Amino acid sequence: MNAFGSVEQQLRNKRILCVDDEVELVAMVANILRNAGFQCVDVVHNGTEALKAIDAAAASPETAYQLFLLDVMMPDIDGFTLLSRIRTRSAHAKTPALFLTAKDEPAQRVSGLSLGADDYIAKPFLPQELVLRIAAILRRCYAQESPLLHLAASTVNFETAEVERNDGTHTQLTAKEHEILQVLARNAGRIVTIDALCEACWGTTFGYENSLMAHIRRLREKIEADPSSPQSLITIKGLGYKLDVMQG
Amino acid sequence: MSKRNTPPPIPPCANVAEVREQRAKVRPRYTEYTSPGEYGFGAAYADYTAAADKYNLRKKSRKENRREGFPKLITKQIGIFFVLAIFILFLDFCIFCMITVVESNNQVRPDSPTRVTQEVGETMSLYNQDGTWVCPEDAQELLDEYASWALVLDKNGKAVWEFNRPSDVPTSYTINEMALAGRYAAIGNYTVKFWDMGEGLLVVGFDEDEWWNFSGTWRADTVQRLPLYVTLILFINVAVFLVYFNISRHKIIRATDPITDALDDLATGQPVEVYVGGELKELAQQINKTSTIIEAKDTARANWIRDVSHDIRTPLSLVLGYAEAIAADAEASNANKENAAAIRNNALKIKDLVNDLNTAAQLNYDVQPLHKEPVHVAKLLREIAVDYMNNSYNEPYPLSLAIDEAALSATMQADERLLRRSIENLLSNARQNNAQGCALTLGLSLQGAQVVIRVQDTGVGVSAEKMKQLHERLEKARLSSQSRDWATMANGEEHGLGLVLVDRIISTHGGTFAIQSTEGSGFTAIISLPL
Repeated sequence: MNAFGSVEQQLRNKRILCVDDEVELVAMVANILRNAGFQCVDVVHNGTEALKAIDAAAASPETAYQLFLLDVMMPDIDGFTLLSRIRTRSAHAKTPALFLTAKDEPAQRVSGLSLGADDYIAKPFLPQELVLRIAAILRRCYAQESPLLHLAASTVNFETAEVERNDGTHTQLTAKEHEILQVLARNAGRIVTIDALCEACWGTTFGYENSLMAHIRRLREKIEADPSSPQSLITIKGLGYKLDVMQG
Repeated sequence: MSKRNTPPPIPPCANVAEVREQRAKVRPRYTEYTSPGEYGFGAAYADYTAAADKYNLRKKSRKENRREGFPKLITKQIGIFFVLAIFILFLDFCIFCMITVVESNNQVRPDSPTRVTQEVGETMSLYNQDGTWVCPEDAQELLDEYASWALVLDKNGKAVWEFNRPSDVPTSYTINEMALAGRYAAIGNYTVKFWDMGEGLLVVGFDEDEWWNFSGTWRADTVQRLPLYVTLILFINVAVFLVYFNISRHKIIRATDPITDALDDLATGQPVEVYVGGELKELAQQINKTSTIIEAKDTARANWIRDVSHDIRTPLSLVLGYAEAIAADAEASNANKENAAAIRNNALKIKDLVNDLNTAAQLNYDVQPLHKEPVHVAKLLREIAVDYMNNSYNEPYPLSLAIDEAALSATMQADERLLRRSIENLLSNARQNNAQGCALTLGLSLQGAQVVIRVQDTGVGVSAEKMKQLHERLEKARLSSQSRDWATMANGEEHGLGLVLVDRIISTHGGTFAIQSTEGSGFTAIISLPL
């Protein structure tokens, strides 16, 4: 099942706990994640077991979970309650969490996200969608652990905002370029709309399309071997941009 | 979920070929339920939404309409009562006239004082030579029978003849006494009548207990005004009646208004709670009870739909996940990969249907189905397109976006989730009707004050006849917008919800939905929404 695209090296050792009372479903989810390259995927079938497993693992920072995938509707403790209980543990106050639910009502979405969930996937879902979302969340939340972004023609260090081209030359990213590249890197392999980029960098969707294009052009000059035929930062005409990263 | 669409049981057969033949026979019936049908993989939903937009309109016109039902009935009833009152008045008048006629006959019957006096007076007119009055025997009998007493007075007021005179009746009268007796027709305690006999005056006394006498003097102009007074009395009666009529009509309207409102709401499927005191209390309670029952049924149905679609999602995730895994498995044979892809694609169809079902349930059972907010349309379309591409639907169905320069920053009030659902439905519709693949275009432009969204494909299109059927189905769904029961729509020969649901969502937003196609050259769905 390697076909859903495997995730980059630094994400593979992230410890993930899947909680769902649907035994078959959670087995499949774990399978999908393992096949995508995640090496530490644990499965439990109810909230009580989940809390036990979380507390046992939290004994050492080396074994503590780094992402929770929670079902909303569970017989003993529902997903929302479970997340708020997880959040009371100091080790997991900021651990990313993602809800897997059969409901797609907007009210539920809001209540899930306001609890501090990072994303929400409605069943039924396509496997690659799940993998991409989890990878995006992990990249965002653990970005400081892997400041290096490997691209076709260069390597970007997000900590120093430095670009090292494959030919050995160094350039510096501006603050905006850094920001744009980070948003694209978090969603590596997926298209990010112009609107989402503008919102992330300028806080609004209106009036910055031209600035964005100018920044992208300068970014390409820094990271691409040939800016006129980009290998990493791809334009999807009229829609947005996609960043292809090298698997570590 | 006890009733499932299972094919009829296949009788045990000797060999595989026979089984296949049997299956082939039953399949048409089976596909009738499962096939989404050409471009309308959904016929059924629609009523719901238009009901919502009509609701506001209806609320507006309700005030005017309200003057009609109940109050009209009451006006009619009071009107009938009014006519009846006039009829009774007329009847009374007739009865009065009859009584008058009967009684006036009664007054002139032989035993009345006037007749007795006249008869006696006429028979006594015989005057004897010695100056005494003689009364014939039959006259005496008459007096004996009907009168109390009788006198004959001469010109000086002295009694010259008497009959049964009581002691309290004087035998001599002054002119004053006679004038007063004539004025009041009474002497002492007796009612008297007079008869002029030339030489004498006959006075006959009757028992006061038996005969009364009225007399009065009236001014001539008063008597002339009498018809006016009668008219005035009639007029005042009518006026009092009309005032009462209007007050009671007003009161009835006020009392029935909440009930009329409640019935209006009930007709549009809104839950009602009406509190009315007095005589209509029981009626109001019945309406509340009805509303509770309807609401309970609606809730049960909505819950049922939610539960079923919820329960479908988990197994569907498994189907989708494993089918996708096989379809993408490098080790699987090509045939298996194709089969798995077919399973995945059909699981995606089921996913769409479940989502449509939920959307329709929301449109139908929510009191406020629309959650409008400003929507930047170009941004929404980009999001949809990106989700589409990120979900790798793009392979055999490449999607391109065509947004007019002028429409780039267009913003309008809409329910973003429903609008997204409509467009995604149209995209998925195009994919499902073009199994061999086709190019899709998502277009956005401005036409006057309208935002026009086009979903266009380069697929096989639809024949003129099928187009006619589709138009008819949409029209039917629009017409039945009064009914909130989408289930009745689903009973038609075509199943599913797609285009009809889109149509309903768009009309709820005050927009229009149109479809165009010629066979062999693709299909275009056009959504027009007011800015």
